[in-house]
Amino acid sequence: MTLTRPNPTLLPGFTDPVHGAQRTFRALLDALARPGMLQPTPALTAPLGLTPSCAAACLTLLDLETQVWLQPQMPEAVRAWLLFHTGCRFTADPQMADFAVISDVATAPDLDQFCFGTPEYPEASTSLLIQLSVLTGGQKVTLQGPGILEAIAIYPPFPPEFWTQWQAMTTDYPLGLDVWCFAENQILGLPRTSRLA
Amino acid sequence: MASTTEPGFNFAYLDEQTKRSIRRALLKAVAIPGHQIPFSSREMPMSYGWGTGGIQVTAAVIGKDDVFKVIDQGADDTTNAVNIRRFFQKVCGVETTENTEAATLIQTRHRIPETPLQEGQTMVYQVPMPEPLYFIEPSRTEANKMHALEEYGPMYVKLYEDVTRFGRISLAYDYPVMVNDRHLMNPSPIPRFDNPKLHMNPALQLFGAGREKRIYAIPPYTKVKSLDFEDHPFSVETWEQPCEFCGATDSYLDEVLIDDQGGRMWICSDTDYCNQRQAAQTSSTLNSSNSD
Repeated sequence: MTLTRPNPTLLPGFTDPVHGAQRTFRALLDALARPGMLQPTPALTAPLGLTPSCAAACLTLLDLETQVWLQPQMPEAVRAWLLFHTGCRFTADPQMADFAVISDVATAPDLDQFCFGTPEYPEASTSLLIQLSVLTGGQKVTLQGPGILEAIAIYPPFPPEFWTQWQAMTTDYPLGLDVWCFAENQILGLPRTSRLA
Repeated sequence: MASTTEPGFNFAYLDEQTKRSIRRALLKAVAIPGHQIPFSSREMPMSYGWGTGGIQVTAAVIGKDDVFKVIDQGADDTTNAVNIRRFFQKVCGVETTENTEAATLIQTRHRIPETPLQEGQTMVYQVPMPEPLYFIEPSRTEANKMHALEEYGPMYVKLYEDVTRFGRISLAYDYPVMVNDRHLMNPSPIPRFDNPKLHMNPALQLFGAGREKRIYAIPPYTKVKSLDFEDHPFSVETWEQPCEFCGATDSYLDEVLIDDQGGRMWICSDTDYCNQRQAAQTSSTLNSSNSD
């Protein structure tokens, strides 16, 4: 990543908006349908502060109907780029967010600070877009649930507290959060149905 | 097979804004298996009841590398299947197939192919009535509460009434299932025969109800249990005769009237499965007659 970047709003989105969004959507869909299995995304020039895969996901998911919470330390360039390309609205309240973009898990709010949805409408929850430098190399965690044949081991570099909070969250099913983790051009999905084995 | 697309339309007909809203609904649907997600169903160039929900789901999912198959009651060559296949050929230019194994995306009206589905394949079901509790509780607000509270007792009462009246659960299609041990779901009007195929299927299964504006899903490898009672376990239909074309005894058979004298025959509802079996039989008879 170079530091001398042009004005973020001048950075292009997908080279091909229709098929770029479609391929990214399939990666996001497969990531949730097959938790723990890495999915590739199309190439994209992302603004400083977003990984290419997370930027692609934002272009695919966000528009003027969505409320986005950005982790406060995200560069201003990210906000400007998202606003220019998607027209999304921003909120400072994690409870109000449809999507939350997180670049540092260690300093992010606890999972229960975000919206878990309501018993009648569990889908009215926040989806977390978590950026990581890598998707492997962390503590081993074994997942079970829909989309997983028996069990799958994943190694995202999350602090142990994250998994403690995740375990507490999964007891509230069908309420809960769905998470995508991003590094470079890859996505790892973590739907609320994935329980720690 | 890929052809050029019809000019003047966005890829897959729907505008990108609509696709995004359907995609967001689909992602939630996969995250909460069996739970219905409301979506802003659009008018499509065909009337409600002809698969507009399935078409919108397909339009949001399909990419130019997909190989697309459409079946209507198992058949690739009936009006609804031909029309929908031609529609997507026109607005996407995608490759289409009748071969279940070759397809990456299969839109279906009321059947699951006999050939087992594989990892990486996606099924899209056309759904007329997504709410299994509708005939018990017509109010959606109340039905939502029942789902929230997992209050599914009345559905068992309905099935029990069947047992008292007919001695068995008489539902032949749209037989309710429990998904991931949590959500009661209508599997769309697939015959009861197909219900066991929903369970732990390697393919991703997406359901779209256009008129009712609901989307739901079953991810791959998800538990799907057909409701039953210990003393009246779930069972599938059986036939006394094999398919008259291919001799299959393991497939779902349709009864076809062949004259006005009451003559009838039983044939596979899955045309691709039946044709493949017939082709295999012809080639093996040819081979054996050649070796004579």
